[in-house]
Amino acid sequence: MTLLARDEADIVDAQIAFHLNAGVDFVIATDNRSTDGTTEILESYERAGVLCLIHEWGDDMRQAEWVTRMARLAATDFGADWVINSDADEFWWPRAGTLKELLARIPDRFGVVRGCWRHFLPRPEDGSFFAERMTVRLARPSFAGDKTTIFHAHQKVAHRARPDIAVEAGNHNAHGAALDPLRFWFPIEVLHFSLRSVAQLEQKSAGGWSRNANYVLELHQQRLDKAAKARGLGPYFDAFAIDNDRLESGLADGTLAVDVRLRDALRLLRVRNETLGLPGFTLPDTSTVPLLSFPKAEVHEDAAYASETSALVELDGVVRAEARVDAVESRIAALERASWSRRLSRRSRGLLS
Amino acid sequence: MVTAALAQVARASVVDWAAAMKVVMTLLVRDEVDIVEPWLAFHLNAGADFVVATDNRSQDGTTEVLERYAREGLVHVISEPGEDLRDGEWVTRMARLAATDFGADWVINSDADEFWWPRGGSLARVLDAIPERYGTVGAFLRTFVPRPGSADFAERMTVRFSALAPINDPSSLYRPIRKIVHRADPEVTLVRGHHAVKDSSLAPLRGWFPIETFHFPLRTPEQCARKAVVMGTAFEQHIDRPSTGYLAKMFEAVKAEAIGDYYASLVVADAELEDGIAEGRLVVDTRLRDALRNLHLAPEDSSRTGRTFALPGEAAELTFSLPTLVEEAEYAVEAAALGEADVIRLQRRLDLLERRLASLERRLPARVYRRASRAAKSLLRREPSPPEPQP
Repeated sequence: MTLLARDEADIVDAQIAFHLNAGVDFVIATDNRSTDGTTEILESYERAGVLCLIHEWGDDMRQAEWVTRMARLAATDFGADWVINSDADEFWWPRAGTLKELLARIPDRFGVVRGCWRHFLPRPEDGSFFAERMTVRLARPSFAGDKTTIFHAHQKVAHRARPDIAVEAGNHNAHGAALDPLRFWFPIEVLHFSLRSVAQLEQKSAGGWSRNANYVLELHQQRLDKAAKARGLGPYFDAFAIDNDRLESGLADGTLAVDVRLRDALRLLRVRNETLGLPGFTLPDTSTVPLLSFPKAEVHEDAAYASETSALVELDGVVRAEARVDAVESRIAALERASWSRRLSRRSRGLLS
Repeated sequence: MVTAALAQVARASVVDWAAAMKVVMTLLVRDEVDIVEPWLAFHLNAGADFVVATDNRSQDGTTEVLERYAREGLVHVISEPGEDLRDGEWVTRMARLAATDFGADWVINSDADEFWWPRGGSLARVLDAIPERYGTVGAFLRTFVPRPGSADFAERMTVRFSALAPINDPSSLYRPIRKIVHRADPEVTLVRGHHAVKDSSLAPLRGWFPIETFHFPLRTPEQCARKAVVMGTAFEQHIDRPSTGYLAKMFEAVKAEAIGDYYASLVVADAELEDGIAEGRLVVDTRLRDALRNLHLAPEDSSRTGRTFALPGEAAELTFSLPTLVEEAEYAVEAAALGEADVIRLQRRLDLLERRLASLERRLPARVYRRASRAAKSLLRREPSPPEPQP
């Protein structure tokens, strides 16, 4: 797994521990000028031998370049078969089996597997750990391509390791020789915790993207920056935070869902250490049974998930091309039906009289 | 408050789905007595509540089977004497009836050789899970190959083609095909072959195929020959488009008096089966066979009821277990072939459109010239003749 992080100390420890327990063997991380303790957390995993740390001092968020560098390293130096390109606020949740078991099932002729973003909404701050607090998921994300909000439907990709891979900014697509995507199946949910606290938002809004001359800010990023400059991020955060009243009405109308899977997984990883008097999360140990398991969902949950991934299938060029072919077909049919002789004779008569 | 809301959600998920929603199937059938009773029994036990059937000139006992189930109150039979296989029209009529007269929530339009297998729960349960804003959902057609012998089709035909073997031949019987299931709608229109609804406001739920359609198109030499003649004649005499690839091949074989050879060439013998499995082309699939075995009535019950199979409640309930990770991954990878097939189909449609456009372009100048000159001539005729020179 590759991980690009800047000042994400509130989440990065959990993020790495989770993935190492979910079937990831090794992490390549790029630390981009962190000052909040993120660097120290990454270094502790490096000392444990499960992470390679790259320090990136650039202040212009060249995300595609930095992630591509890591993804290539995974192929050339770390013997990866598959690479997952993740952000610190993403938890790649396999819909059955572990990430490793799942990716091992993909036939050779497919080289890209798409995951589906599932957005968790902030809850009012009470100082608690994000995963304990943020157990509300948006069940009806905005349409794919809606850049006015971060909470839109989108895919994230895992790909076979290749020395020539190119990962797009945002990790939504990856390109390499003979890497065909597996269509329709989104076997990994990417649980996304992008807004967690006012303090975290303040760091996010000060991010390097605003200093990259070539980067066109997405609308939701512009809004965040504008809010930071205007009224501060407190009101901005509150506008998204789901209090109990909003939760109740959201559950009733189906726009929100309660989802405690990550909370429970992280609790499991913490408990073991607590009993041993250790801080942090438990790392996998080949001598013990894996702590995390990922059971198959029931058909109702499958259908709800399919309703979200359906929007991503439409992102695929084929569906759009189909709609255009339909339109052209009916135009040609109309032309064929149209009585040219009638129209032309009418017109020529008009011209000649 | 939140706890109350959560409890409400929990209650909602255990609602009795079977009572809450109604699945009606439509069946268009002509002379398929070897398969029609298993078809009815299977679906009525798999979560379909009612069947609207169109019997098109059957003479082999199919009509009597339909009537027997109609007497049980489970089937409404429409007798259609048309010779011209207006398939889209007949299925549309049934699908609309399902909505207007039989209280359907969802409609599955089927042929007698298609068995709709829910991946988890039952047909009703799977369809009930679909969010309200979606109106259609895809099913994945799985075609079973003919096997030697003359035993009952389900006992014998337990091998299907794998979609992992890429097929680009549009005339192949085994190319990847998607069927659709739709919410009941009094104005729905099905296209020929009922693979799609036309001009519909029903939003498609894409990329999820919670139902597999087991397809048994060719079962015995006699059935194959009969199908070839019926379909071939209909296409030749009544249908304004070229015949489906494999049907055209079959009809050619009939005309060449070689339909027996044609069928024999498709039969998968044991030796070929072994190779096919090793190469990943063929898969042994006994799910339908086992389900029908479960529904078989004991001889005394059979002679008492006049039926070979049990109705719901008369036998152990059919179970459709949730697939495992391994099964899910295999299925997803096979279903991905549907996406690839979409690309190929799209290319083919573009080819056709290019040809139609080119012929429009070619026709245009010639016609413009013809019409214009004719118009000019008629105009000239109408003009007064030049005055005679004065003496």
